[in-house]
Amino acid sequence: MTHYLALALAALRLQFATWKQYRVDYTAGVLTVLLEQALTLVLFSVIFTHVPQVRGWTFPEMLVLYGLNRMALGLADTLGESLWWVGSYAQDGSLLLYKLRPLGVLFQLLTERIHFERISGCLTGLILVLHGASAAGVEWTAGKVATVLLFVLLGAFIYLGLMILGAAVAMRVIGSLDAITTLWSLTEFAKYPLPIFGRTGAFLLTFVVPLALTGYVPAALLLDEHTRTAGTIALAEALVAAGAFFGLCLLAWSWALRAYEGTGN
Amino acid sequence: MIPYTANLRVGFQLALAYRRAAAVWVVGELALLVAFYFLWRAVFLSVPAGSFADRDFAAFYLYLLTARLAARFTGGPAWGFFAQRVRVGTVVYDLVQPVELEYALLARWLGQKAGQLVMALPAYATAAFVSGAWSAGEWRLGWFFLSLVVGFACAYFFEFLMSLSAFYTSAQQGINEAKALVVALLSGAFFPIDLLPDRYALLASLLPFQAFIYLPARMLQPSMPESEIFRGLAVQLFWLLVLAASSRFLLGRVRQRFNVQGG
Repeated sequence: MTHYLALALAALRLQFATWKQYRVDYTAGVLTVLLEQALTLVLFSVIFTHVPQVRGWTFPEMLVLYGLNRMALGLADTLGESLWWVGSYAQDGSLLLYKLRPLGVLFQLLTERIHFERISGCLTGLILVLHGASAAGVEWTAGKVATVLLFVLLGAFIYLGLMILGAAVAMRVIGSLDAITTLWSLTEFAKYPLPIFGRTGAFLLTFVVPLALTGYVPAALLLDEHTRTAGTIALAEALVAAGAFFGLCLLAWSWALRAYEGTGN
Repeated sequence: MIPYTANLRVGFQLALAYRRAAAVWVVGELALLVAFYFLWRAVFLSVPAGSFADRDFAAFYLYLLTARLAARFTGGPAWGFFAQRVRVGTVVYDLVQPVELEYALLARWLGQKAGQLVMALPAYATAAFVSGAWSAGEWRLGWFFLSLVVGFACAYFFEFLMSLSAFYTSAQQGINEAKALVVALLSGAFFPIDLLPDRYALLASLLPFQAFIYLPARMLQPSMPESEIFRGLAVQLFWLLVLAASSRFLLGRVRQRFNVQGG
């Protein structure tokens, strides 16, 4: 464990030095994060210029939900970006090199390229949360701050799990460089309030792919107006479901990696 | 002509060879459509009159279905056409081929996309039936597919132009992601661009991106009058000429300055 920690710190230092050298990439990366968020905000503003609320959620409340979701995603994206490449590594056979090294493949991939610019997604998410909460009249307490921090961390793990699962699929379905992109489509559900998906959707998004924990649940707990609806979700069970989801994603990864035999010579 | 038809065939067969990949993609796309279905149904339920910006839900959802289909058909490769090959130098093989590079690549890419479209169409048709969007359509399928192909060509030449940036900078990831998002926002891939506030809608209507998705997707909308069809196609053809000519010009510049270290 100490060995891995030392290696992780060394990788962090190295990646930070490398990252500083590629200023154009950094600027474009930040721009990408901002544009990605702008895309959803434009969609929200288009909707809310025509309607005052969607299923009881107003524009500022949606900003809180979306901001929390982006904070979790920003954290996961900073570490998990290399997982998007697993499909092409599997296709050209270079993934075999990772398997031969005396280190966990997942660890190597996670520390191979750390995208520090993605943290900007966290910061802009935080700005959205603060702005939305202020407009929605949220009174901050220590408990609410702790709730936000806990769920952002939890959400980052859920997103990372989804990336790992996508990478596992990409490893098995050769030619599907889009496998992670495909699974990523599921994250669209995380941007909106759970009640709009009906009971079945709410169950699936809480206990099967627990994306509700990345935005909706913490937002509802933060916004007094919606706390009651969030209370109907069995939080302890949802947290167990999130842990189980992450564990299953890791199992899928191990299975895919064990079965991967390279591309031959 | 033979190299181009051969490329078209190769592209089509390539798409069919990766059937499982196409299936994975269709599943993801359907997930996105389901999410949109619930979001927009909730929005329409929140409008007292039941119509949103003079559209009913079925027609609106039909737009989203066709826009997503067009987005898939016109979408470029995630990392552009040349990034990796420029980095390792093998792009020189592309540049010295005795064919027009942009048209050979266009043929192969068209074949590949046509193969994917053939495999994905049943999923979209099913989604249209299940959601009830089918009933709202004005089924001008001939015009729709014509517009889709012209939109594909516009998107291809835009992608080709952007891919040429690989000859000038290695910072490809940020450029590609930023490009994808600008296209997604201004092409109408997620909602009709006429829903944007006036000044932004005007801006979007002056840019080429509407030709990729918005104009083809509009072809099946009941609110689209016949006269608008020709106007839409004319706009698409205009952008096709501009983008194709720009690609030819920039590729010429690249050929003049590009130098591969051999030995």
